[in-house]
Amino acid sequence: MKIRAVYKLPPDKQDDLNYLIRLEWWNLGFRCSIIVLMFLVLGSSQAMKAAWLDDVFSLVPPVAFLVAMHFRDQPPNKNFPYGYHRATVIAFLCASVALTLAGSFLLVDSAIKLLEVEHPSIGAIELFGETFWVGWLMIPTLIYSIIPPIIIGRLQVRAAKKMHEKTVFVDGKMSKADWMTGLAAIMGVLGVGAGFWWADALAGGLIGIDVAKDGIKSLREAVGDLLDRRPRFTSKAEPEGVVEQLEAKLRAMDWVVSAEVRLREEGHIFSGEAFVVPHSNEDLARRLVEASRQLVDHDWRLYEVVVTVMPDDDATRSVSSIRAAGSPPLS
Amino acid sequence: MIPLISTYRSIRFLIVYRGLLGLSMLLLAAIMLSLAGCHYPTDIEHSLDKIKGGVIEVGLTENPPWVIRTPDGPAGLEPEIIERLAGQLNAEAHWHWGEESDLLQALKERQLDLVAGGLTQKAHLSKDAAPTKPYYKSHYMVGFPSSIAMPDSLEDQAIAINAVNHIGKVLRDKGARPNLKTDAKSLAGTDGPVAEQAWWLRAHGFEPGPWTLASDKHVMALPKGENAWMIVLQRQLNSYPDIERRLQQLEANE
Repeated sequence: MKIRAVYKLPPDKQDDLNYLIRLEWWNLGFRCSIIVLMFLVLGSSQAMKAAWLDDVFSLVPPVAFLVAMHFRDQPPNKNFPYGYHRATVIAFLCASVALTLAGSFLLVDSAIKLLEVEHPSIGAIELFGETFWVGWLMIPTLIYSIIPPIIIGRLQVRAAKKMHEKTVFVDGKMSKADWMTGLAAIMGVLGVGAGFWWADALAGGLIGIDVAKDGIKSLREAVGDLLDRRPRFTSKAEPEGVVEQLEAKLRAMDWVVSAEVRLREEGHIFSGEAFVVPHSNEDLARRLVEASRQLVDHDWRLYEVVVTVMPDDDATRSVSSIRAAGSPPLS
Repeated sequence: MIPLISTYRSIRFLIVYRGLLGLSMLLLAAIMLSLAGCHYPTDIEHSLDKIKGGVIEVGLTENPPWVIRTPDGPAGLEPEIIERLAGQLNAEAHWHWGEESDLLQALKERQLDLVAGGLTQKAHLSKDAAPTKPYYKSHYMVGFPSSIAMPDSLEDQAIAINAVNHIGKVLRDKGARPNLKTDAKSLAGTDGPVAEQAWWLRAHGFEPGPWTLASDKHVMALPKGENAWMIVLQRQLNSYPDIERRLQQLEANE
């Protein structure tokens, strides 16, 4: 069996990756502190519960990333000849399913509370010999829950772009937008204090919508990756130009008549095939190996491009183009 | 091309929607705070405003010494606390006797402002009512009469407990042999060790040993959403002096 060679990051990228890993550990630490603090003042406010659940689920992306980091650098082997690079994507898929479900649950739960005209109670607590409203503890806690994610989210987005780590990128984007969740929860708590029974459940519902939306967004990203969608930019939902660049590179070689390339993303790296029509069969084996090496050297994210030879035959090409267009195969 | 356009549109929509939402929320906050004025937090159904200078409708369940039913009206620790609070609010307490489940239902329908009856913190309370935070923890301990020296462990000790209890299992786990007594009189008359709440033990001349078997967290129940009324009551409960000694006195006078 032909097992893939080990993928090696360029040295400068390795530094960037180490930074990203450190960042994710910081992220995890802050998230944990937020979750513990919020749990202590949770009470029976729906908005607070929603914001807390949102924060609990925000643990999943950094944990998934850090766990996947352990797996994905293991070399390909007999049982997994393609390696473990997709581990991150699988983790990301699980996280996004959980996020979507949690968001929907929050939305339905809040809607039920609104329909039942449930009056939320935010009790009183005794601290340092003073009895005061728990809402006064909830608000500073929520403000604390807003600040670290905004800062770390910004750093995550920047570092993830450099490393083409889409999972971290999406997580960073969501963290940056997390202040909305915190603000909605603060509004909910303040609203209850002002005597508006609906404020709490309404805020909970809005947070639910936001969580579910985040979930669906990352679900689409993860499913796209697992379905071998063509590589896209880290930050934009647009195809990258790598395929065209590789095709141009191949066509520029003097032994090539025409060339077509297709690529897929395997987590943070690209793999794929190149189909080349040669002028002649002279020294073909060596040329193919050389072409493959040059293609992989084109971009640091390229892991493996298998170069195959096609005959210069119009008939085969037209059949394959009809199939690609979606018509039933000719019999 | 279509997916590109729709993505662009949804992104633009999100930016506009988020901005508007943030702005309207700030506006809402300003309105809420100005409406609320100096009363903050306030009640959703304005219980505290109605109680001040008016009437507190209190639901009571007999449960001595927390709530004692006498021909002259209610007595016991919790009516005393409520009377004191009513005095501070220039209000009058109207007492309504009933079963806990009926009272909680009436509380849910907002016929009552408060339910008391030695209630302990349980999940079912929060379903129909807003329980206060526990204001007193009642510890179940093993007490010994002065005639008996306190042993090092409960291993193989015969310990008298009330037939209706939630400490029998803990006692058996500690190796003791629970001895069920069907009424309080025979429990108090036991000449061996007894497991009961600490104030009960002291009231009947037992010395509590170092074993805490279980704790009841005592609360009262309010209608949901009455956050100002809740704070006023909670302050009263948290600042009420010498609850343990009062319970002991009430139990001894029974």
